[in-house]
Amino acid sequence: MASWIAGWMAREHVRAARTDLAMAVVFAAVAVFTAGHGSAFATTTTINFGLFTLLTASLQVMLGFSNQASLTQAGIYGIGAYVAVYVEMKSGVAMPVALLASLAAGAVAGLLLALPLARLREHILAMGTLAVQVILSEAFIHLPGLTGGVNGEAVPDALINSVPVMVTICACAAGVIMALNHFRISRVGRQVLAVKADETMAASIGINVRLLRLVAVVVSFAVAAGAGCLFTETAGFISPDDFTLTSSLAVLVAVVLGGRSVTWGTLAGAAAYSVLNAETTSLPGLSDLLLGIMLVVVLGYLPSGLTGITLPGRWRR
Amino acid sequence: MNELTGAVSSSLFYGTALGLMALAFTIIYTVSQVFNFAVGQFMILAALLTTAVRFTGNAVVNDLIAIVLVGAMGSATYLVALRWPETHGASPLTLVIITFGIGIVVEQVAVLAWGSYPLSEAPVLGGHFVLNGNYIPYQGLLLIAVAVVTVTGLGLLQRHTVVGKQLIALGGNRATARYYGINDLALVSVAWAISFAVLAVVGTLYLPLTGVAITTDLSYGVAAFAAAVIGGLGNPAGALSGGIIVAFVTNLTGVYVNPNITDTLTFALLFAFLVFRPGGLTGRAIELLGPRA
Amino acid sequence: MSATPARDTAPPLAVTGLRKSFGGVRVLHNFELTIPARSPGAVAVLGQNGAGKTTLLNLITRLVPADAGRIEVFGHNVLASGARQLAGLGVARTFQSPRLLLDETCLNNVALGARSVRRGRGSAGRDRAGAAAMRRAADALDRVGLGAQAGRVAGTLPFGSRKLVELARALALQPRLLLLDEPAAGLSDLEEGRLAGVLSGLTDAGITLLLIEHRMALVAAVARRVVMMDGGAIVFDGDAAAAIASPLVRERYLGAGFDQVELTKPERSDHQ
Repeated sequence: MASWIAGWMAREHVRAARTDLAMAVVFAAVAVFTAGHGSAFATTTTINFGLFTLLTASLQVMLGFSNQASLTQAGIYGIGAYVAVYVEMKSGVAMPVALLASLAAGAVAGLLLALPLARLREHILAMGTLAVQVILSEAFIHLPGLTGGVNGEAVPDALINSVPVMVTICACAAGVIMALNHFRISRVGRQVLAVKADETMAASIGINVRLLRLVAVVVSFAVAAGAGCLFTETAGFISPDDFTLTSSLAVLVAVVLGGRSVTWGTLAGAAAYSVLNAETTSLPGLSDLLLGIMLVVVLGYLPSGLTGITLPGRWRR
Repeated sequence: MNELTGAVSSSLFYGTALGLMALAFTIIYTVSQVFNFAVGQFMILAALLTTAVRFTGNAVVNDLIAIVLVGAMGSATYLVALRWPETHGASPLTLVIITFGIGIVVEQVAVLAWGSYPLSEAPVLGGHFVLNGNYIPYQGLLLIAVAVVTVTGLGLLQRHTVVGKQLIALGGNRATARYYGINDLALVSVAWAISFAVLAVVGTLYLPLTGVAITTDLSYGVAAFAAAVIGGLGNPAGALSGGIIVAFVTNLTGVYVNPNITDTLTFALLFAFLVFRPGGLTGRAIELLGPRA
Repeated sequence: MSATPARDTAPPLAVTGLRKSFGGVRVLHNFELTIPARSPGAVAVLGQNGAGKTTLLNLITRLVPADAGRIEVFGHNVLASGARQLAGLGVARTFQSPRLLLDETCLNNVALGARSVRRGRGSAGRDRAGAAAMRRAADALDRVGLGAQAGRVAGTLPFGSRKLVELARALALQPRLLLLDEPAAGLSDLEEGRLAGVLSGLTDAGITLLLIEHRMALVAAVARRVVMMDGGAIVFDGDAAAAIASPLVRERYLGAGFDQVELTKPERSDHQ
């Protein structure tokens, strides 16, 4: 019996390792192709794709794993970005330190917000996060001492269109997706998914529902904030317009579009949205129009996305 | 005293407008369990229809045409974007996000059609009187009068007509209501039309007081949502009182404390109510809270 | 970790003055039930649908808040805890309709329970590591006779088998008090016989069993004590034979035409 179980578990890990390898190949291919292409447009597009993948992965942790819809990922992205700029301007530290600061800021934000939101569920929870997002947007505009206000902040020593940074971002994106993959088959990951499937059943077998929901929020926000730090490395300039509710909605569309698979879904959703977005950035209104159309069409008529997931909530007939 | 009078009068007008928006919000919520965050965009669209597209020379007729058109758009929006998902198992959250999408689409189409610069519109009822050094527009008083009539009318509709009662029954349990022979397709479409008509009233009467421009963010909808939640979701009186309260609290704070934090204050109040008292001031609880432990 | 003397003698279940209403409907009215410590055999709960049996379990396991009263499990006041703490106290339950992760294998479903074991029970009690938990899960599945189905996706199993998987999950929690809601519903006669063997083995091992059940053959085979609920309180409390013969039970629940069931002891399963 024991050996049979051992074999069983080994098979699951082998499958996970295969997915890891595939992800690594995909991102490596993207990075190599972009570097080979050489143009600034290609590098920028790939950087945006990598960052957006990180954001999609962050929402996947909260929504795909823990059934908590968040409309505030862009706001947390902004917190990470502003913290990184603030830290670098104040003390001229190297990027890894700024990254740690951003991650910590995201985690703290998660802790602070998860507690008041703990008892909320489904769409009421989403509305709570909506309130947070719009408050953050206001804060970014109206606290010029910290954020440079509506005119934004210039980023010191930013490396715009840098190939090494592009490669770093691709590596991070691949790494986060692999982490999601392994989380899914880990003991804690399975408990989180059990809570998502049936919260009362999970509580009745001793799973700590409150703690797991809290951890999901903290990890999700840390990843989003970390992505914000990486964003500042590539942008010469950040402003409140980069971190709006509209951006949060874009991340949500990507997760839903991606579908049930936490690995390929994250990649597919982020890729699909990034490609469509890149085609329409010439006219900013067009980009938003596309987002609006996607929100209506994908959520209304393709709720299972490209690989099969739906937003939380009771099914009504 | 001058300042206070001005603040009070503008709060009154803004509160009425916000209350009507919250009422529109509540009508749809009562019937469909959907939070319609496209309220702001359709309100502005109504104003744009009278400003940029003048169908006739008469302002009142233009307004009425806009109200009818936007009302019709309400039904159309429901039928095209929400009916199929709703009847095929979409959760309330999904439907809410769809309304965000609708709002964005409307906004971008309006920008494409009319640009994003503010348009001026002559008010229906021109002129003003002066009180304590403040200009009080007659249109503002008209807005309040129309609001009172609208609320009373809807209340009567709800209590004394079959249609009204059926609409309330729908809110309880859609499937059960259908078993009782209620034609939910027709009724919900009508409810959406009424809701959007109310939005058009706000758009045509209130926005001329403040200037008409398609905004590039979604905060009108969020403010209306805040007013509805604070007053008490599902309760028309709550919607109006929520609007008045939010308007007064934020406006007076803006005048006497700091004008930059008015929106933040609205959203912070929303957050606080969602967390501590989701039933709002009138206390009807929303039963979507998880267990205590 | 040695148990304190108080816990050894604390009754597994002591319910007093329990009241619960849903809206205007009063379901439990000053309900009282005590299972004394070290009492052998299972306690079966009979009653018509709507008598409050499942509500009782839901109140004990804190899925539903009580209006008034006191519930003590092994001396602990349960009403001060949440659902999660009950697993730590050694309480496990099954549901009338099994609540499993239908996309996962039976083994993974049961392993969820095995991984949650947190009480120090002997030196190996705190081991929640993957392999050991999986072994416990496989053992639990064997005990209910579904060892061969461990790799099957739970959603492909028939209703009765799903109930057994849920029982295995409850067993994987190593409970001291096991609350079962109609464990035999949906089972074939053969499976029911096997279940009787499993449950008898559990009571022999000192685990307290409280089961809601309609299948009188199972009740007769396993239960040493039978209580019947009616109108929100207990109206009969005795042994199985007395219950079947009782005019009150026959009138309010079994039906006057209920035939005496052959009360044979079932085959005890070899895997204990």
